[in-house]
Amino acid sequence: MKVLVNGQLIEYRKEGGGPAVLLLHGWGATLGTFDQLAAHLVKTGHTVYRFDFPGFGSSPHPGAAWSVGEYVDLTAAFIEKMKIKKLKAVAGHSFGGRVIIKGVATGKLRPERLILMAAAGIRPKPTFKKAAFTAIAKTGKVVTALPGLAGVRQKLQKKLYSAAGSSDYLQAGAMQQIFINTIKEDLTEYLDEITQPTLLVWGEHDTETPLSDGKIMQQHIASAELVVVPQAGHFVYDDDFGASVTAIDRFLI
Amino acid sequence: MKYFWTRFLPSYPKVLLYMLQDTEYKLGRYLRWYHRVSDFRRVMKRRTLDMTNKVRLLLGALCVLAFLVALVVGTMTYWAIATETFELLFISASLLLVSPFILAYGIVAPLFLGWLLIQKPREKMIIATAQKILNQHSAQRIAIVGSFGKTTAKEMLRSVLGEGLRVAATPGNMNTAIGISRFARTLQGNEDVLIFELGEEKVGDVRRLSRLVRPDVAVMTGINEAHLSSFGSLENTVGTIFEIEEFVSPQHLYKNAESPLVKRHKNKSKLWFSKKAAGEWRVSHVSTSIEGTTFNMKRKKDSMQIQTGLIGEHIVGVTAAVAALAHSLGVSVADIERGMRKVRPFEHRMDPRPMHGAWIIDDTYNGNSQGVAAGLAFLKKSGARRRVYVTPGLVEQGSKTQEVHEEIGARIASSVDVVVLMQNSVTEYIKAGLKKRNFKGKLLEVSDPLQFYTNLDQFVAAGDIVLMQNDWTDNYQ
Amino acid sequence: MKKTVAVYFGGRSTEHDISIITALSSVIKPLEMSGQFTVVPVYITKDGRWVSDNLLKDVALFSSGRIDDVVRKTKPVTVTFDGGFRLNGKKIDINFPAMHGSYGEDGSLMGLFRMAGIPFVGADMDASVIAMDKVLAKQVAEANKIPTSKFVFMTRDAFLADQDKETKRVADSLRFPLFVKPAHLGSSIGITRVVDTDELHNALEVAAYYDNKIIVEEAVSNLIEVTIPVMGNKTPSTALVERPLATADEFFDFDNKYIRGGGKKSGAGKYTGAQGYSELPAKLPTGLESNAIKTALAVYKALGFQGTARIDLLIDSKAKKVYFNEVNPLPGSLYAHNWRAAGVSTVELVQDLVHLAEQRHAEQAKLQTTFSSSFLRQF
Repeated sequence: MKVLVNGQLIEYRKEGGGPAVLLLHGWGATLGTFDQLAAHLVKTGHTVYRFDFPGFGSSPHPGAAWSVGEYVDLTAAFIEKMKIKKLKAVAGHSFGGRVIIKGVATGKLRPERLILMAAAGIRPKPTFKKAAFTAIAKTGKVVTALPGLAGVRQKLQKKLYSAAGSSDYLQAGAMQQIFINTIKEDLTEYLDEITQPTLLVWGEHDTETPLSDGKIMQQHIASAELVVVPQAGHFVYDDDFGASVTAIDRFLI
Repeated sequence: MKYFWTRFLPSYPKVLLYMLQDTEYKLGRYLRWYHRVSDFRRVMKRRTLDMTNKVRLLLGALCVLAFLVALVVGTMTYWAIATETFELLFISASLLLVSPFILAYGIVAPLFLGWLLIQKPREKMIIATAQKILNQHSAQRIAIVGSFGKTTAKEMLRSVLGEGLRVAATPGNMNTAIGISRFARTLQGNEDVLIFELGEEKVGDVRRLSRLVRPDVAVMTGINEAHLSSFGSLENTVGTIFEIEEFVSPQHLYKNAESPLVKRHKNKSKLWFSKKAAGEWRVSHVSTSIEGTTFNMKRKKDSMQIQTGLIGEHIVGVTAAVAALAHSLGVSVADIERGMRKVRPFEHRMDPRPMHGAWIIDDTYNGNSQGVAAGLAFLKKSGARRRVYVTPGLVEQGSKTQEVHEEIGARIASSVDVVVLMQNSVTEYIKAGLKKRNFKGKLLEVSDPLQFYTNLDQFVAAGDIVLMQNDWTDNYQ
Repeated sequence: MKKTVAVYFGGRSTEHDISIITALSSVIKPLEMSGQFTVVPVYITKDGRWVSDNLLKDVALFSSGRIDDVVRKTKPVTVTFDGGFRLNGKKIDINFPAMHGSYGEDGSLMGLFRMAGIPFVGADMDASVIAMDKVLAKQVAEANKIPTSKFVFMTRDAFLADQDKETKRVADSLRFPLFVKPAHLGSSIGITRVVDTDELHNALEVAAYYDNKIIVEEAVSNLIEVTIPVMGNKTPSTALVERPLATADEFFDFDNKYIRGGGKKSGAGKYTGAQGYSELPAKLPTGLESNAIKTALAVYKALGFQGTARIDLLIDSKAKKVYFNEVNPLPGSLYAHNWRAAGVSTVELVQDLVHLAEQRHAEQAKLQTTFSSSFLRQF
């Protein structure tokens, strides 16, 4: 199903009946990533809303270099468009978590509870490795600016970024600028503004948003519970659906 | 000569190995093929090189050889220029020119040496061991001889006899001395019946194999022009297949009355089979369709209702013979009928499969005019919306090539609605036959068979029957 | 002598990608297999560039994304009309549009070919134009006494000028549930099923995002949706009545129609292919099959179709009524799977279509379109 939100075409699903829950997907994913979770929440008596963020899945690119703030505004407008009066919970994964943190802290999103699964928002401290890569990248940019080297540049870029572990960036394509905008933003201080009960679900072996991020969030959010899922990685709800959903069920009662 | 340069392409060594593999490492055929090719880019058409260990090893050898030739040419050229000896330059240029032939023949040497020094002595040993095993074995032995239809007869026998007896049969196309010997080594020793397919390519083959297996009963499926070039003459072929008479008593040799070359020969016995009878058994009520074939058999008070998955009237005779043979070996009527029902079409031999509401009959292993006639007879009476016939023609027809294919063309003209010809040297003869009989249907000539086969779904519609007969490998042009 | 057929695909349309598959698998391959034609592929990019190269016959070029390189490196096509239709200097005998949606299936390309005076496959310009506007198609059907479901329509401008008023007008004149559709687009893009006024408003917004004309229709109850391919000029014939099956949703969504399918034949009568799941032939209550075929042929004639088209019908299985829904001048993959089941192979199908194109062109050539007059002398 499609709906127009702030002039932006949005692909969405509304399923089930009961208190409303909104699910926000991560970078590079689509609403389909929550098929299993949505089905479960419908079964436990919820109306589940989810949508593709602009630039992902079947929702077209916003046409401008958005940052987290615009995604927050869009999410708020979606809630209004759907005429959701009371939002029992909003759950987000990775980038979706980022949108929730900023949205709730600024008062634009007003859910009763938050579920943050491997949420992004903590900017990693610059390591020696990252600094070295940045230096190499900048040098590379200058060298490959020479005529005839444009093709080489793309290849080198690819190698470099995959060595630096930033695969999201490479796959971002037309979304590259938005990606850069979002990762530049550190949301640590926003965490202190969150007063609602919050469930943090983290995979023990998360390499994208390491468990340490979850611990920082737990410290900053007034009322937060951190559930660590053993053996799971960044896609914690996929890696161990049972464990994740047990925590979520308990939290939503 | 226009395409001489194609011998210098990087793919050339692979093409050589492809040709070797496609001729099953028979060096004579490989070399004959090699000399027929002009454009080496166009050799690998039907399949790709199957990367076996043998091929990998030979490819390595070829690369080393090519490297050595290049090294010699390079050194000589360098030396020639350095010392300004132009005779040397001339030699190195000629060497470069003949280097493709060095590779083509060079690769033969290790194969020949390997065969002479390793394979041949080992095979001798294997055969000697097998002879010992077979001499001591107490089972009934059935031999199957003939130019065509051996596998069908063998598999039917295995299925029917297997209902009541312990049966072993030579697998696949293992019908040479070495193949049969390898099979002999796998026997348990407690089998009731052994079934041997005897291959023949030259005079004396059947006699040699019969000495090895010592058959009690035999089935002669029919004789045609197959392997004519290695036999030399049709008389030799007939004589070789009839060598079986020296080993099997006339009352135990089932022969195909529908094969003129068998029928015409001076026959000692009268144990015939055809679609009308098998020995003393009368055959009646024959019915064949895409689903299978049924008929009744009667002998005095005994009767059998035969039903098999095989299709076409041409299989009735051999089916009846197998049933009669099984009965004579003491298998019950019920067991024979059950065994026959289990017989499904063999892969690539009048083997039907559904495709989008149409039927494709895969008869690509069929390569003789008897099979063509049988397939066309079936297609003619099939009652399909469109009767489609796909063929490249037949290989190995020697001096009779033109005559045989004009006959095929004439037969096609009266049997089908659409004919698809895979273009090659005999296409014109088939077309001449079509024209002579004033063929009114559609004719399509295809230059890229692979493309046609892979897009067959575009060509068929519900209700069609498509018969695909024979399949040329690349080593025939 | 082989005839040269130019096949057009891609295009400035939401169905760009589907058109590529139609052209490569259901048009170019069988045309070549027939052994009667030389095929010149003409690919039209999403931004309207025309490219022609034999490389374009390979689907791997498109699935791998290498197409972008080819487009960049190939010179744009030049078309000349004098002395026959020539593409990059090569004379073309017949044009075969394999395009879906806007700028291709909607009559635009047909107009160009008419100007050029070259035979072309499929519906003529006028029928294409009518078919591509769902409102117009229904109006023509109604004028010919062919039943259609009750509908209202509006322009985007009218909707944007007063959204609430237009929404209310629809809600007052039709009974929910309703289907809201952009009037011009093919496939199921932008189509929404709505049950109340709020949903209706949202759906109108979405439809207005896609198109400048919107149609809202009453849903048919006890619905059986069927589709029937038709082929011919003066004496058209039908293939089998086919019933597309939705999976989870009650409604046939774009994903379902084009992406979820792709499997092979599964069980008797169930077909899954480029068009998704379907029952072929459709099992209909007695009497409805002949009624459906009759309606399909009536629509084909009323809208002035020639060549081929696929007629979509809605059946109320309780009331036993057949309604015309919409028509597809060039159904995806030519609906070859249906024709094949009806006994027409894909190779025969494209040969017949080319033949029909030549036949129509010959007929048209006989019509007098110019005459001499003394009109100009007075100036």
